[in-house]
Amino acid sequence: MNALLNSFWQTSSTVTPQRITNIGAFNTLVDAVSNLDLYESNDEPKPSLVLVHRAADILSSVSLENAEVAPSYGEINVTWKANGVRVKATFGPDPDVFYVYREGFENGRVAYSHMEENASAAYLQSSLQWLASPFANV
Amino acid sequence: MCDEESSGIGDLVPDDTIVYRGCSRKNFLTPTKDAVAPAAFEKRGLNHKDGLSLALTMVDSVRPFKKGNFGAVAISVGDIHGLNRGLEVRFDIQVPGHIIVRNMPCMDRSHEKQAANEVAAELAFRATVASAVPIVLPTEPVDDIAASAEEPTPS
Repeated sequence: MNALLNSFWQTSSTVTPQRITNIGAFNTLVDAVSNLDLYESNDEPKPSLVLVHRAADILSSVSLENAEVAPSYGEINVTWKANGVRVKATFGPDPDVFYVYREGFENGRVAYSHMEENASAAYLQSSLQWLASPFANV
Repeated sequence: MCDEESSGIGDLVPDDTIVYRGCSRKNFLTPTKDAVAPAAFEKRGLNHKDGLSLALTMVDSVRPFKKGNFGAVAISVGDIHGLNRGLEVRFDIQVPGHIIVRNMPCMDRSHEKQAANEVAAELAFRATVASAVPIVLPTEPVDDIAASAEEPTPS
């Protein structure tokens, strides 16, 4: 864990120090990207510190209480599930890349899905409202 | 679809075959470990150049992992073909016991991401947890280790 954390911070040492606007989300993200069990191999690219900051900023408007956070080849995936509905926010690997995937599942099939490229915090918020009440028009 | 390599691709695997996918990450299973998460079936073209790797046995499904494993999931070949999404489950003629799912959309291609998420969710729904604890590889006799060192490593 320490070796991974060190490499995580060292590879990000050239970035300008940033203000942490949401310490709760930031800590949750750091916990996930530091978890060796969530990586396929030791060589797998890890999310950058810049990306963690950007994701924490965007996630400051939503709750991570029931979310699953996992790194994947330099990306950070944050997934919420309820009532046959899934919302997945993907950040990175480029810090400017952020998309939100919405999915409705019925009888073993994806009955509805939408991928929002260039998503915003507002779109993520509305997606989580949809997750809470998928029959509402949000 | 992002299957860049096609050497060593064999015949279709019969629909009544059960195949296994090793859990190289903890999040291939749900946090309660009683169901399969879509992450188990997310394919990346960068890492899975010939297709998504499965195996005929649980042990073979985790054998390539140098870092250990978190169990394995099982799925019927008929269920994969039955999605009617153009997926093909084929034998790898170069690596005995290795199975390849062809024509899967890729998570790391922007125009395939939506389909890749859909396919991963539908496969995870059909898969079951074969082992939620790490699978221990049997100790190989010295002769077998020397022979296996020359085999290509599945992606």
